[in-house]
Amino acid sequence: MSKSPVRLKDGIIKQNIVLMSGLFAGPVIGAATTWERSLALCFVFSLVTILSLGICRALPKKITFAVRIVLYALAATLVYIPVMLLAGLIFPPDLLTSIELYLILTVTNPLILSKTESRFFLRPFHLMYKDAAGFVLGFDLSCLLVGSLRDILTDNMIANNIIKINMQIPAMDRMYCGFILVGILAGLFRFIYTRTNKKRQRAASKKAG
Amino acid sequence: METVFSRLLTAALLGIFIENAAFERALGINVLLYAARKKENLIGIFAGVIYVTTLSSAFICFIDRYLSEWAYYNMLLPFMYIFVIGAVYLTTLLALWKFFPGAFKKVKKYVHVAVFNCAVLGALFIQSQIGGTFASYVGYGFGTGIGFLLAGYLLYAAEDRLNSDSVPASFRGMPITMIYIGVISLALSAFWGK
Repeated sequence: MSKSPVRLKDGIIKQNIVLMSGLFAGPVIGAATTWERSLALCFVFSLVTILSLGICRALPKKITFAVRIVLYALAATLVYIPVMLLAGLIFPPDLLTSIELYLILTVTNPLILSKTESRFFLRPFHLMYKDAAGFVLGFDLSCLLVGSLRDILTDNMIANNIIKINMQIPAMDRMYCGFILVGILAGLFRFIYTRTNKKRQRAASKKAG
Repeated sequence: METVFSRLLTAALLGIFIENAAFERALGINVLLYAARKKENLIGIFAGVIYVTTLSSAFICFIDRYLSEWAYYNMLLPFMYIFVIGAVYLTTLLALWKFFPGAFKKVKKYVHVAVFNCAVLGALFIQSQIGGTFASYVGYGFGTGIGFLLAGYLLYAAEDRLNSDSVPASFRGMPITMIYIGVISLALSAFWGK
């Protein structure tokens, strides 16, 4: 068992899977073109990840890794069915169909297929969920940020509310703009993170000195 | 025979250029970043992607043909696709372990990255939406793998420049790579008139 402390901000900021490592940036670039679409992606991603982790954890560790990883992915696909049925009650069917490709990809997300073995399963059950919640929250916040920004910049609207700004980029919902926007946001995110970290370290060394 | 070949070629070209998994659909970005970072595994990872997309596409063609009329087909689609990908993955690993133990030792560390990723699953889903004959399924699967290799090569070629000192420290690595992919994607979109 890992004895390193579990901090929510690790997953949200330090190891954010969209803006820091880019581990699951693809669906955000492809699907989060509006606020509603990003909300649907977050909903499916969060439920599929959290529920699958519990099932995957129950699998015997005696099974060899090659087989285990197939079972993890299969467990996620089974969880995907009720999650999509639930999503169908909340979101309009057209919206879900338009991002179906990216919703399906949530079953092969790196939190289920790689972080389980390298991180989550090394901790007790409750701490695993606390740690995973940080990563899921990190994804959700980044996804909503990208979706909102693209929504505002494309149509000067967010969730059908007009935002009065003097800038419109109609191509912002295109794939290439998604890549560029996520790249710029990731750079800014890292810049702010390193700046704040350096300030904190300086303050700590002053206190110690 | 000519028709089969032309269908295969058309589907492959579609997968390589017009519907490139990485540039047009943002699929498998994590694999591209991983492969560009660990250069020694580059060929192995892309060979794995090409192999799995091609072989899985062939099986998916039969599943689509016989089960696509089923009411719950869309819900069970990911399960069936992962089942096929998993079967291909395990059978191949078993064959490698039995007949080529040296190769098995080499690939076992990263083969799962090449097999279980968004590019493979996404390619199968897109092909399923497009439909077509057996030749177009296999052609598209192969084309997607080659298109992914092309994207990987473009990243590999620019990797040193993207990590050079001339790039601001915060943008070095993943952020500038995303912007770079975005620029290539923009160029491709303009080229195809999308």
